[in-house]
Parts: sequence; C-alpha cells; structure tokens
Amino acid sequence: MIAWGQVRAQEQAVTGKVTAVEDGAGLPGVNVVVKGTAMGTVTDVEGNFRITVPSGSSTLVFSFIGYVTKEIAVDGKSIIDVELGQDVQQLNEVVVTAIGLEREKKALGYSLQHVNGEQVSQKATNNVFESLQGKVAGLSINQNSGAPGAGSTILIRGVTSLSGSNRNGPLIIVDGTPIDNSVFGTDAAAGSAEVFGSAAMGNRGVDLNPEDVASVSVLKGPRAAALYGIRAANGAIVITTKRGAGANKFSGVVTSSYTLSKVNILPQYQNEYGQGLSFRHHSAVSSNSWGRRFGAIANDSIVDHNGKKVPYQAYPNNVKDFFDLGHLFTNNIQLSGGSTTTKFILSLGRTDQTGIIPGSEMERTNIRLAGNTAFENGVSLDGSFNYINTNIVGSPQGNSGSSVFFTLPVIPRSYNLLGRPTTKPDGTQDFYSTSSDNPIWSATHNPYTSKTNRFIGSASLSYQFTEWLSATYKAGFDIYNESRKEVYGVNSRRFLTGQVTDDIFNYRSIESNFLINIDKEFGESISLKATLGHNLNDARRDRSIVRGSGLLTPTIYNVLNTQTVTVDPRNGVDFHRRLIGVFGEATVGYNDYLFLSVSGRNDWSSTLPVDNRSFFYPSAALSFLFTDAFNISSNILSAGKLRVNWAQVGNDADPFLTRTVYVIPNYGNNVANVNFPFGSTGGFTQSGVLGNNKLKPERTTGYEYGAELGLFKSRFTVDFTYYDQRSEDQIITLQVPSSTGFNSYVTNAGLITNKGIEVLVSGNVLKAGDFKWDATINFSRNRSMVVKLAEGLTQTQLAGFTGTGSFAVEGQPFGVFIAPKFARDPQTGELLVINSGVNRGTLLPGETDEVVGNPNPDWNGSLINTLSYKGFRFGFQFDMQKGGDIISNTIGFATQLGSIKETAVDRDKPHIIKGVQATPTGAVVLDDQGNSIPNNIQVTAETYWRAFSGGFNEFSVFDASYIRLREITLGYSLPANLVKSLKLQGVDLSVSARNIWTYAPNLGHHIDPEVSNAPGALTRGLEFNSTPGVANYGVNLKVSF
Amino acid sequence: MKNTIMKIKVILLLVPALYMLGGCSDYLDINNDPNSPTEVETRQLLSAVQVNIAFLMGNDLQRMSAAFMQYYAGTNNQLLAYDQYNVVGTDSDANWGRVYDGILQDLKEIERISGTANPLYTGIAKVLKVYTMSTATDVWGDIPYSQATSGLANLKPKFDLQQEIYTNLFQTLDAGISELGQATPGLNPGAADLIYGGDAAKWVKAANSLKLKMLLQLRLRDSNLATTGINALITANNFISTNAENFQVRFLTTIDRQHPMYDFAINSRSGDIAVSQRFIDSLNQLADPRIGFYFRNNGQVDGSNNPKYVGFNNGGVGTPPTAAVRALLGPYNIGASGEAPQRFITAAQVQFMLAEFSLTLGTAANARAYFSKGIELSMADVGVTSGPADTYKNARLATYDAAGTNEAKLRVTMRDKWASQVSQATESWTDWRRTGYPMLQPATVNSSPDGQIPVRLPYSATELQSNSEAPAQTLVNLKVWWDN
Repeated sequence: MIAWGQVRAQEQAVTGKVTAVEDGAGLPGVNVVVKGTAMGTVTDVEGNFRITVPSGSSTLVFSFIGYVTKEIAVDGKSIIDVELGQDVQQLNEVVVTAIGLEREKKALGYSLQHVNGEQVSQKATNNVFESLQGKVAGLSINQNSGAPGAGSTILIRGVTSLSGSNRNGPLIIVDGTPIDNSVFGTDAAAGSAEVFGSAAMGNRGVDLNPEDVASVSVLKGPRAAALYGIRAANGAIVITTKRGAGANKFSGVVTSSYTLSKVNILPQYQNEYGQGLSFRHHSAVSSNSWGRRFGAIANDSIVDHNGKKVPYQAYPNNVKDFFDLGHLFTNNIQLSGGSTTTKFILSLGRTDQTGIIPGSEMERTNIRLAGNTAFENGVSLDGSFNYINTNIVGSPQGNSGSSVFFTLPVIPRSYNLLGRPTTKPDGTQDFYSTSSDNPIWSATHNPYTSKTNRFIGSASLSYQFTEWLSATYKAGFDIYNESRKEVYGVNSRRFLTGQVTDDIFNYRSIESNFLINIDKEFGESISLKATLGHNLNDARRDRSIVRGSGLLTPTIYNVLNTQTVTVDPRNGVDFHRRLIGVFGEATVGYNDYLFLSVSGRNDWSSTLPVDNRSFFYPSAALSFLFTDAFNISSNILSAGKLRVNWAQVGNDADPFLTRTVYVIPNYGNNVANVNFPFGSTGGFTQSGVLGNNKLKPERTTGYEYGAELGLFKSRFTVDFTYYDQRSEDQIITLQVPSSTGFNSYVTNAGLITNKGIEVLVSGNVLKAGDFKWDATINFSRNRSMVVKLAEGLTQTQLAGFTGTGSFAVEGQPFGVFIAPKFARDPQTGELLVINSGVNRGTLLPGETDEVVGNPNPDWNGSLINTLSYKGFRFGFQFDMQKGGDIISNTIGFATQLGSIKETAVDRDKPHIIKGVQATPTGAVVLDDQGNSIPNNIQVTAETYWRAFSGGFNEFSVFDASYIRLREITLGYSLPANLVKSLKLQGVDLSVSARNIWTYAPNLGHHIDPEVSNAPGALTRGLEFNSTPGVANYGVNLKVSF
Repeated sequence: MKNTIMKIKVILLLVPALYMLGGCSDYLDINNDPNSPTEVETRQLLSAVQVNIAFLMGNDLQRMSAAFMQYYAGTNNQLLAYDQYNVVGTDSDANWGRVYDGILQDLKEIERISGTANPLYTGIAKVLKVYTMSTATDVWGDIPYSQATSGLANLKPKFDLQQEIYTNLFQTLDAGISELGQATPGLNPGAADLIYGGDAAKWVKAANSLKLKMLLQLRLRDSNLATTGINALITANNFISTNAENFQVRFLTTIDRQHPMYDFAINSRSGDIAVSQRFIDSLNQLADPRIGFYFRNNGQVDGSNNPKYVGFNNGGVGTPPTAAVRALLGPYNIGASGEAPQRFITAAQVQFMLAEFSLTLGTAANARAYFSKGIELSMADVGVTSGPADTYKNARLATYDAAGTNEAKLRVTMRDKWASQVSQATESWTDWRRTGYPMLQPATVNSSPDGQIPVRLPYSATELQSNSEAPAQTLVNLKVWWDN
C-alpha cells in the first residue's frame, strides 16, 4: 500500500487542472484514472487534481458524465491541463450493469435507466424506494402506508408471477450483493387478517439510507438481468453506494433534515346527522350515522353506551384529530479520503421519526465503511461493510377488531372520540363499539415493535493479469436478525385476556461471484468485452415464533408473564434455498457503432426436483449507433441508437413444494382457533396443497425494441422502448375445488404476457445566461394479460376474502377484482329493483360474483422539472396515473353507515334507485307492451345508500386516476467565495415537500389513490382498513468540507 | 518474476472458488422442510381429524344452526346476518373446505395407510366418515361423494344425489361395523382416540346410534327401509345408552384448544352473540332446571332475587342488551374455561329418536318410556340433581299423557329433544326440518327469499367457482331430498 503523499522513485507525480471547453471553468468531480489500472482520483471543486503514476508509459484517462472522455499520455510531463468538451452524444457515459460490471451506455442493447444519488437525497422521506417514485419509466413503487417503517411494493413492467407476492419484485442489489426485501407477517391466523396486515409490517428495504446512495441503475426486462440469474427474472435495481473522493484529501459531508408529516387524505364526512338509524337514536353501540339531524332539537342529547347523557352534536374533526403531526429528523455525516490508489468512506446516519398514528415511531442507525485500494502489481481490493439498526414501533392495522383502522374511519359523526376518556374507572376500554377497540386505546395498548440488526457486506479481490484480462472474486453477505413483538393488551377486543407474540427471524444470505473479464481490441475496428462467471447463493431464514396468551400483569409484555405459552405452527425453517450458476457474456463491437452481445447462463436450484434442477437460458442484443455509422450529424439529430434484444430467464419454485406433506393442524381463523399439540396429544393433518415432484422451471421470454436519440445537439434526449414479455410454465399454486380433498396444487401452468412501452424524454428546455431549466418526462404503459391458466381452470384467487378479492382470470389482465354484482335486466342492462316484500325498493343480489374492476393503470407518467439560477435551484415533480381501479372497503362501509358527505345530500328527501322493477325472485316486471318498467319506488336515503354499499361489491370499485405533486424543492447553494471564506467546500440549504397536492377525482377525495394497505403485487388495489398516506414538509441542510 | 509469482498466488487463491463449479448434487439436496413430514402415523391423523370434526360441528356451522333454531341471537357482524337468514355461498366456504379438504381427506389417508391389517382403525375411520358425510348432505343436499377426494385424478368431482349418497353411506357404515367386530383388530389408537380410547365395543354402539339416526332421517321418503332397519337395531339393542358412552370430543381449557363457541362468545366476538329471548322464554315457561347450566345470568336477578337471563330477540331489531347485562353461555355449552365437549350423538338423543320412531312408524305405546328416559339422560348429562330433574320430567310426562294423538305426542317429544340439544344446534335443525317441531316463528326481520327459516345452506362459492361440474347456486328455501 502506498502511503499518502509519499512518492517512490519509480513513480511520478502529475498535477493539473481540468476545465470545460465552453467556458474555461474548472470541472469538479472529473475522474482521472491511470489507464489499465484501478488507480485514480477525482478533481476538486476548482478542477485541480494530483495523481501519482508509475513511470514508464502511462496514460491518463479523464472522464465525466456528459463530457467526451480524453486520454492523454503522461510522457514524463509533471503538469497536464486538460480541456473537456461536452459530449453531444451522451452515449459515452458509463453505467453499472449487472454484478457491478461497467459498460458504456452506447454498447447496451437493452433498456436501462439511471438515477443518481442527488435525486434521492433529501427528498422529505427516509426511504430510498419512496424517493425513486416516478423517476424511472416502468418502475412502479407503492408505499404500503404512511406509518413509519412501512415498506414499499416494487414492480417493474407489471406482474409476471402468479405465485407469492415475494416473487414479483425485482432483485435489489447493493454494491453487488443481493439483499432481502421480502414481506411476511406475524399475525397468528392466516386468512384475511394476515393478508391485510396486522401491523405495519414492512419489508427490509426500509433499512437503506438514501444519503449513502451514489447511483441507482434500474435494469428492466429479462435481458437486463440475464447475468444475475433467476432472482432477477423481474428486473433488478442496482444500487451503488458512495465511495471516497480520493486525491490525497480528506473531505466530508454533513447533511441534516427535519421533516413534518401530516395525514394526507381522509374521507370527506358529513356533519349533519349523527349516530342512529332511520333518523332516530336507536342504539348507543352502533356505527351508523343515520340518526337525527343535528340541531333539529334544541340542546339535543342522547344516552351513550355507558348510560350517561351526552350532548348530541357534530364533531367534524373527530377522525382527523386522532392523527398526530409526524416528525422526521435525519442526520448524516460522511467522511472520505484517500490517495491516488486508496479511497475510503465512512458514513454515519441517524433517523428519528414519529408517525401520524399516536405512539408510532422509527429510529434507524446506519454505519457504513467502504473503500478500495489498488496495488501497482495489478491487484485491487474493494470492500464495504454496513451495519444497520432499525427499530419500529407501531400498532395493529388491517382487518381485525383491534386494528386502529377497523372502526376509526366510520365512527359516528356524533361521537366525541378525542373528548372522552379511553378507559373506564374499572380499567376496561371505553368505546361505543363492542366488537372493536377504541383506536386511541389500541394505539397505546396493542404495541407492535420490531428491532432489526442487519449486516450487509462484501469484499472483492481483482487481479489484472494483462491489459486485457482480469479476474475478480467477490463475496458478499446479507445477514439480519429481526425481533418482533406483537402485543394485544388485556381488554383488547381481539384477545380479551391479552396476548404477546415473539417472532424472531434469522436471515442469512451468502453470495459468491467469480468473474473473468476480457477487454480487448482487435485492430482498429473490432472490440471485445466478455465475462465468464460462476455464482453461488445460499439463503436461509429461520423463525422462532412463540405466543403467550392471557397476560397476568397487564403491562409486562413477556411471554413468561402469560397463562399459556404455545409455539406457533410456523416455527422452524421458513425458507432455505441454494443456487449455483455459471454464465458467460460477450459483446463484440464493430467500429464503435455496432455492438452485438450474447449471453448464456445455466442455473441449478435446490427447490426443483432433482431431474429438473438444471436449466439454461440465453439472450442476444444488438445496438446500432446509426448516426455514427452513416456519419449523420445534423442540427436536429445529433446522436441516434437503435437497439433490439431478445432474452430468456428461468425461475425456480419456492422451497418445499415438491412433495405433499403433513402439517401440524391449525384450525380456524381470527374468530376461533384450535392448534396442536392438543393437550398432550400430537397430531398431523395432510396439507391442503398437493405437491408436485415433476415441477419444471418457469420461463420468461422477452423481446425489446428501442431507440435512443439525441436531438438539437443533444439538448434533448429521447429514449423509447417497446417490450413484449411472456412468462410461462409459471410455478403456481392453483386453486382446486375442496371436494378433491385439497384446496390447491402446485404445478407449471399459466401464460402471462406483459406488453408495453416506456418513453423517457429529457433535456434542457431553456437556457438564458445563468438561468437553466431542465425537464424530464417519463411515460410508461403496460398491458398484462393472463392468457391461460391450466387445463380446465379459468380462474384462481390471488388474495382477498373467501370468494372476493383479486384473481387471475383467463383472458383478463392480471389481478382483476371479482366481487358480488347486482342483478340486471338482460335486455336493457338496467339494475333490477325489488318491487315488493321486505326488501322493496332495493337491489337484487346477482347470481354469481363477477369481474368488477382492473387495478392495472392505463398509463403512468411523471414530469420532473429542475430550474436553476446562480445558486438557486427549484425542482418539482408531478406523477400521474390514468386508470387503475381500487376496490375500497372503507368507502363502501362509510357509505353504508352514512358517514360520508354524499349520503347527506337531500337525506330528508325520498330517493329512487335508477333501474327497472323486478319481483323478489328476480323476474323482470313487464308492462302490456312487454317493456320493462322503470323503477319509481321511493325509499329513504338510508335504504337507498345501503342498497349499494357495504364491503366489496361492484359499487365499491373506483377509478384511481390521479395527478400528484410528488416532490417540490427549493434550494440555495452559498456562492463559492463565501463558502471558501468559511473554509468549507459547499453549503446548501433547501426546503422540500412530498405528496402535498393530489387530484384524484373519482375517489371523492375519500382515500389516497396509491395506498392500499395490503402489501404486495398480488393484492394491488385492494383497500380494506388501510392506513392513510402522509404529506411531508422538510428543511434540509448540507455542508461539505 | 514478481508478476509470475503474483499470478500464481492469485490462481491459488481462486482454486477454492473453482471447486464449487458445477451442480454438486448433495449440496442442493435441501428441499425438505424439516417440520413437515411426508409420512406420519395413523394415530396422529386420527387425533387431528377428530378435533377437526368437533371444530366443524362446534364453530360456524353450529352458530348458523343455532340462529335458525333460535337458541342464540346475533347482535352484530356475521352472526347477525345469519340471524336474519342472510346466508350466501361464501359463508359455506370454510365449512365445505373443512369437510372435504380437512376431514374426508385425512380419513382417506388413515384407511390407505392402515390397509387391511388394521380393521380397528379403518372401522373407526368409516364411522367418522359416515357421520361427517351424513351431516354434510343433510345441510347441503346433493354434494360430491363418489368422485370426491380423488386428488389430481379428478379435479371436477360430480355432485351425487342425496339418495345415492345415503345408500352408499349405509353400506360403508355396515362395512365399518363389521371391521370393528373383527377378532384381530390390528393397531389400537389408545389415547390418540379422543372419543373412546380405542374401545371397539363403544365404537359399535356409536355406529348403531348413527345408523338409527340416518334411518330415521329417511322415514319421510322410505318408510319401509326405516322401519325394517330400526326394528333390527332395536332387537340388537346395542346403542349408546349411558352418558359415559356419548359420541363426543372434549376440548381443553388452554388457549387455542378451547371449544370454538367459547373462543367466539367469550374471547373474540362477545359483542356479536346473545342468547335468544325466545329460547329463554320457552325454558322459563316450563321451569326447565337446565337453564342455569346452559347460560349464566351475568349477575342479573328478577324481583324475587332469582337469576334472570337477559336475551335478545331473533331478527336483530332494537338495541341488544349491553355486555354487562346480557346472559352468557354456560358450562354445558362451552365449559367454565372452554372445556365443554362437542357432542355428536348422545344417549338422550338416542332415546328421543326411538320415541319418534315409535310414534310414527313403530309401536306408539313404547314411546313414553323412551321419552322419559331421554329427559333423564339429558338432565344427568347437564348435571341437574335428581330432585329438580324428576319434577320437570313428571310435569312433561303429564303433558305427554294429556296429548291426544300420536302427532301431538310427537310435538311434545320433539319440543324436549330441542330443549336438550342446545349444544347440537345442527341436529335440531335437521329434526325441525324433518318433523316440523318445535313450532318456530321466523326471525322478526329476515332476508330469506320466502321469509321462512332456511331449509338448507347454499353451496360453497369457491367450489362452484373452481368446479365446472358443479350445479348452479341454490336458494336456502329449497328443501333437500329427504325433507318431503
């Protein structure tokens, strides 16, 4: 290792300044690298650099994004000044593709989009994935809720897999090591409570620190990830963390942000009528708000559920006031330094957050140490080590009586939630509802805590054999231990005597990669870049889940402090898989304008039966820079590339599916439950899932055609992609009729296609003197289709309640909603209204449940603007979505119970359902001419609204199109001379806000169009007892020294 | 030289990495979940399936039947919907799945693994299968049987006619009885048999009692079969005759092992359930001493300081009594801490069945003794002391004697059968459909297509969705075949 500042006799120090050709200004951040080595440095804020080169013939390579790379031979010079010109092509930039391989963008035959660290830093959120929203065409990121630590559902180009929500997301890679981002719940009873989340269960993507991110490459489609193997079948998000600045200096950056969160969208309530039915106060324990009009009687009062007289009046903010203002405080310090051969960075980050739900919070500590060093004998080492500690406190959410959001959205308009005590003198809860917890009580007495310690690390050793041949060995690991404690206090509605569950996960994943790289030129026109590799992954998750029921001392949340301790049936090995892969990729370039690359990979997976364990998949891509080839250079079209690629990716099964097994019985659900061992009697029952020892790997094949154009001297760039992907032989668990003796079986079946386009247009809109305005538009459109499921099967349920929810239906887009529909006249299509009997004037239920909605959007787009003037910068981003349905239980129930605004309009007047008359058994009533008779039966407003609503049905489906002001930032960087006088490198102040304006016309402004609390790709659009989203406002400070 | 040495060093470093090339078979053989075996013993399956049957009869199915038969009243959520006869296909999904995917499949596994060498096991399995299937066809009508539980061999089992199912079930039951009587029983489940501890003689009694029940069930359609069959059984006289022989599974006091009605009524949904005021009034009218065992008065007393049971009318009209006041389920139904049994067939029930047979198809004079014994056995099972038990019994016998016709006597008999079966509501529902007694008025407000108490349950919605051989959904007011 060469110590800083020392120069050996065989070496030579070179200094110089790099300036921009256009204005002669110094260029900071330019890479200065000794060609053929990993030795290098970066220019400082004025463009100066200092580097030590081995004597003999050395060449320095100067490169910077957006500028043409220059190579200059040292030739004994000690001072080298360089002028760099703007790269009109913008295709020479180097991007990180798979496994940290760097490739020039021009050589890539596939679609890849790049986001740099600046764009995710200080954006009024502490979640890296949330700050990626809208920045990449085709990348869809949905925040699961506004609670601290809530994770995100990430999809690239739609859903491809029918099995399991954790198999649809892209592979997430940090510094070359894949990390775990799966979702799984702790709640005891499988079924609706688990699907819809018993607490803010996040995925571990929340552990990453946005300030550590140097760049993010999003690889879409099978080709882009053919080198990462099956785990990247749905694409990959490659995150590179910051490395040091180098150049014999020691520098640092301190960032600090303070952000306020407030609850974003709540239902629009009516405040004219309170608790009751049929305009009278019929019951003090009802959630109905169909009672008397406020003010109809002077000094009106009612008797509450405790038998006491209370004033009867509206409390318009009774739901809104439940929420607190959230605070998020993040602080980061990064120290980096190095020499020409060594760089290191130490990053410390701390996040402290309290959420909008009382008692909810998250704190996170990130410590990262990374560095690299290069020896002159051709060996270089790179390593990074992350320690992350994340602690989250939340409360139950989702579909259970103890969920904070079970009743909160529909409490009677006359119920003074905040103004009443939450407990009675005897210690039990004070709440009008007998089947649900008081939300305030629940937030404090049913705490959910999660503590995670996570270690992500990697180390690699590279050796440059010759100028054109090198080898790298890289090992990485992702290890975490998450300790969850889910508590239901004594007197909670869900578990009257209280319950404590300790759920401890131990996850470890080891990754090994061995690569041989070839980078050779043959003559003037042929170049070859090739990689051969071997990859190994061993991932395992063990789980220990113990439950204590019946708390003895109400405030001690320890399983030993309970009457009965049992072990949850899911205790044990949750997941174990080993993968081995060998692969090769070669890109041949002709005259630097035509590139052909081919790749092939063979994987072996432990989760497939022995006979079918090995599978091979190839890919090919072509990239043609036609402007270079035909020497086209006009003022309009300055650079153009056409690309086409075809790729296949295989995928394996979830572990443990190849055989039918027996399981420890667990009968029932959240209402009544019986587990084994039953006293001292053991038992096993045959699993309802038929295993399959003839499983084959899945296959996804994709074509992609695209073009990248530089227009108007590269002032604008346009990147267009059309893709067509087929996923077949899906390993899916298909529903079978229970009468077969099973409820599902695992098989290869199904064909799902995803076709679409992605467009990225970016460039400089206006430039006048010191004023600059850049804009980027992202647009994507995906059409998914379930072409075929299995022999004799036309639909299978993905998620939801028994019989209603999201389904894969043959001939329909993926994930459509099936729910009850009301009967209609086959002739006219009008709704049938019952003309006699108890249900006169209301709707007739339909025969079967049908497809009622489609959660897939028609298109998504975003508009990102950055304006700068001298030291000021102003940026704003709009995200929009057209189409995409949500099926909302919250709106459905709020309508049935008379809480929302629409139900109060003309409430005292009679209502008539638009439809035609029918008998109670469903026969359409016809007049003398044989025509149907329009309904004229008057009913009360209450009967009218209740006829349509309640739970999931066709009328709870809403188009969730929206436009949203995603981000808005106003910042100022102190001028250079002021900064220098402070002995600093830079000072930057900014204010930023997130999600502060939303226009979603079809949702009545009742729920957030993006939040549906069921996390995961298979439950898209299902909204049931969801936690609202938040709007954030923050101030940020960044000081570099 | 230095370079070469360096290169050699690097290659040596990389050699260990190279040995991992290729798919080493053993390294990848890790795909068996250590917690979920692929083979188990029949005794483990037997315990699991017995608890499963008890769970089926003691949970949601019981609540539906109890709402129809006006033992309990719904005050919120799903139970209120059942109370108002608002039952749809999705409400049958869980129960249907439990019958086929849970119970019948496990029973089939027991028979498969036992083979021919273990007739005690296979006999028990057959009895349990017939009990489960007969109950299933009683509530749903025509359902899959002959093609059911075939796994991949038949993914679209057809729905058999109820009449054919019954014929088939009688054959299976007879085969089971014969197996139970074999001299070499093979393996004995012992304590794993939560019902009779492996006692084959008791199983035979249960099987005969089940056969009696099923024959009686068909009497409206095939009186000859019923008469011949039941007379043969009476001659053999080998029924469940004491409460110690009751065909039932007992639950425990520990969390997640309690009677599901306890779980529901006490732990998780106490706000959803109340005792039916109609049942309370009916019991009080006859000063039935069992009321204090069926229900707890929750501290409520009347003017003379006697316990008062506050219930709620069926139909969901008005404000239900508050939690502090409403009567709760008692030790006979759910145990003090959940340890009540789920009763399948009791000794009292056998007596009442024999009484019904005598009054309709047999010798009417024999019925009185059966009726009297039925009341006695029920009182004993509940735990009523002989004094009050006899007082009640004599009063009822007086009413019985005063009844003029056999039909009137049947009405008295069935009224008492109903009163004794508070923890077997599904049984009462079947009785009511077959006999028309007790005479019940439908719930005050309800959404049944004809405003009457349902006479069957809708088919499972998921079954209809996934089985192309399934018929269309049915309405709850369409009678099943034996309900003539």
